Amino acid sequence: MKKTFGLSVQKYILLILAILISLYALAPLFWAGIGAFRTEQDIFKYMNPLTWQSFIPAPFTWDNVQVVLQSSFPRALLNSIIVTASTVALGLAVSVPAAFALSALKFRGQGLVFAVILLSFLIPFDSIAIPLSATFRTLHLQDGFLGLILPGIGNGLAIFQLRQFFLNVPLELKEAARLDGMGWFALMMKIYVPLAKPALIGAGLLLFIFQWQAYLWPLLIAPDPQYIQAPIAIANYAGEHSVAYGAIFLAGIVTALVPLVVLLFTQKYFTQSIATSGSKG
Amino acid sequence: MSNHTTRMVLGALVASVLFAAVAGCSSTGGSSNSGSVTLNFLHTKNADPTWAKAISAFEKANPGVTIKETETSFDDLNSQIQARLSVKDDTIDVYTVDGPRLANSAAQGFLADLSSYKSDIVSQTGSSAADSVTYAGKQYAFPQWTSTNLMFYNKSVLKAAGVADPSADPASRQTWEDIVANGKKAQAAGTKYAVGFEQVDRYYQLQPLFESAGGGSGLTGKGNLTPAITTPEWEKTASWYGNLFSSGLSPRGIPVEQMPDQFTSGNIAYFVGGPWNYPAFAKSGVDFGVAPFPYFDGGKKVTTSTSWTVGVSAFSAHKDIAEKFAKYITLDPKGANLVYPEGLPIQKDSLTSYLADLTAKGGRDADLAGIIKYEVANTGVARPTSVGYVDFETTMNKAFADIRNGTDAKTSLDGASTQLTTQFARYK
Repeated sequence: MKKTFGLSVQKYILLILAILISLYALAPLFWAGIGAFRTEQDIFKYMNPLTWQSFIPAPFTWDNVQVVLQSSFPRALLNSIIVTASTVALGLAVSVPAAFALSALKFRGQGLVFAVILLSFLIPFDSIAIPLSATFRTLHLQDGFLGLILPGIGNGLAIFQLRQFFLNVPLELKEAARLDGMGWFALMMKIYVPLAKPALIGAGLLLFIFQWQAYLWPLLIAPDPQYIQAPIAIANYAGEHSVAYGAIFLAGIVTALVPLVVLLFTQKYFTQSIATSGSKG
Repeated sequence: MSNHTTRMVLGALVASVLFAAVAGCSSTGGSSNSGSVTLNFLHTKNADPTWAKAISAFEKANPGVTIKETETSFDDLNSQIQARLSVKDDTIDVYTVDGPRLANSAAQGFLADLSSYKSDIVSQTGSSAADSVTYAGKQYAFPQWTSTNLMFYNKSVLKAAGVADPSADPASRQTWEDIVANGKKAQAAGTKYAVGFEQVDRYYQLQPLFESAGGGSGLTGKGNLTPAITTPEWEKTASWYGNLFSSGLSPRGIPVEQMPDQFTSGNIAYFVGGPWNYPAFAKSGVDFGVAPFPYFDGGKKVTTSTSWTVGVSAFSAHKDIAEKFAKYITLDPKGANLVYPEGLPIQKDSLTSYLADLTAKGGRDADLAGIIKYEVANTGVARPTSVGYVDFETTMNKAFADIRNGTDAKTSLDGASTQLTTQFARYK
């Protein structure tokens, strides 16, 4: 095949196609990005027909930055980070022993417990959110971080993923450690956990995404402005008669940046964990 | 690496347990403490701090009482009320109730009975406002605002098309037939669209079209639980509305929230919207004027009416003080006047001073004041009161969206009527 600069023509075509598809996918994000620096009147002004002003925010304004900084969004972002980080930490603290018990131990009813956990992540959370919020209110867990964090901790998918990974740990390692007198907890912490770094990151990301995207639950259980979460703060830019699109774009992009940064640093492990969990040998 | 990971996991465990303990301690739920009372006031998010001044004055006059505001977006308010009050959540004391949703909220037992304030409601806001908060003979909220709609027009666009500006005088109100004919001229002169409705598929703004054509509100019978949307008047008007979009006179595919921007961008000659658009239009630099809501030739002159009310939760632990606060921000001349008017003030003194301020500015502001004063007193029609209103509005909004997207008007109305008959059966 004919080669130009070391690449075949076919690869060039694929590369151009990939670039075009990427641009197509990024276009709405780009439009929202520049919309964040437009005046409210200009946001939809240059959509049709396309002119140079469709791509450059002219006149440029910092007004939306000011609106976002003066709103509840900075507090909401901090709250979301606190809630999500706590959910990941507590979620892993629960998921790891659960997955370990379901993979390394043998006990009566193990299959049933695993089936219940499997079932739990097949039920959409939103469908149980309203009755669950009533229970939480009875327990006085409303308007507080604990009420926000608790439902995110027991993540069936995270347990499932970790269990599948733990099942791949060679049986000989477990048996040797047990013969040497190692306890179950030490076995989990010193043998299983160190081997499961990619799976831990994968499970952590699942916990992270569940909580970062939560909307209905914080709306129901923590309406107090003190505990407002980022997605709610963004929705609040939409009033009855007016919508602050510039502020929504800006706050939306900032909110998206956090998981983007997390994924950027952990994507290697995430794909590794998806690829290896569940595969034997 | 293994030791490092182990330390990380153990660290996370300890940190999270500690954090959970702290978070548990910081959780707040109660509202009263050593004689002081905190009232939770849930309302929609508005562009301005609507109640801040009134709240501050109320707190000053009632030492020990703190009003805690909770804002939610317009779209989320009703779902939040439904979810929280259906489980008797006592952390909502006072909340804003969208006028036509009041009957449904009252029927579910969410709202406290405020009938003992009936004479105050009538004397401060008028008997039609009192009717709008009445369900099954009892009053369940205090009226906060009323509303109207009018027509904005782009002066430069009409001038370029050689079309005269419509009069701001309600006595010289234009017909829809005039508007469409002149709008076509504006389109021929280069404007993208002849006519734009702000709330393109919301019953609230489209109701006056059907009322003007003699079709009524669309609900009839006992408790307004019988749909009447397949009459010749409804079908003719819905077809007319659909034709605006199929013929390119009105823009398709633009959601409600983006319609005002179409007007400020100079894309629309005539724009039907609420007075709440006025400040943004004035700020945008578009050269515009105001005129009364048009009517069909030979038909009735009708505009929208009713707006938000303020109710007290039936599950509030501090009903007395909650009622006092809700009454202060709505019926009390001083309190109501301190509320920033997101809608048109309905308390008589507040409305008078609001209109006087506008009139004093002269020019276009005075035109606006004149239109509002006339429409509120003469042409405003309330949305029908019914426990089934939420179903009705949801179904009609979908039908209007279908019609503007090209579905045949008769087909769409027939479908909506069948659906409503089924939905209403559970209220009968």
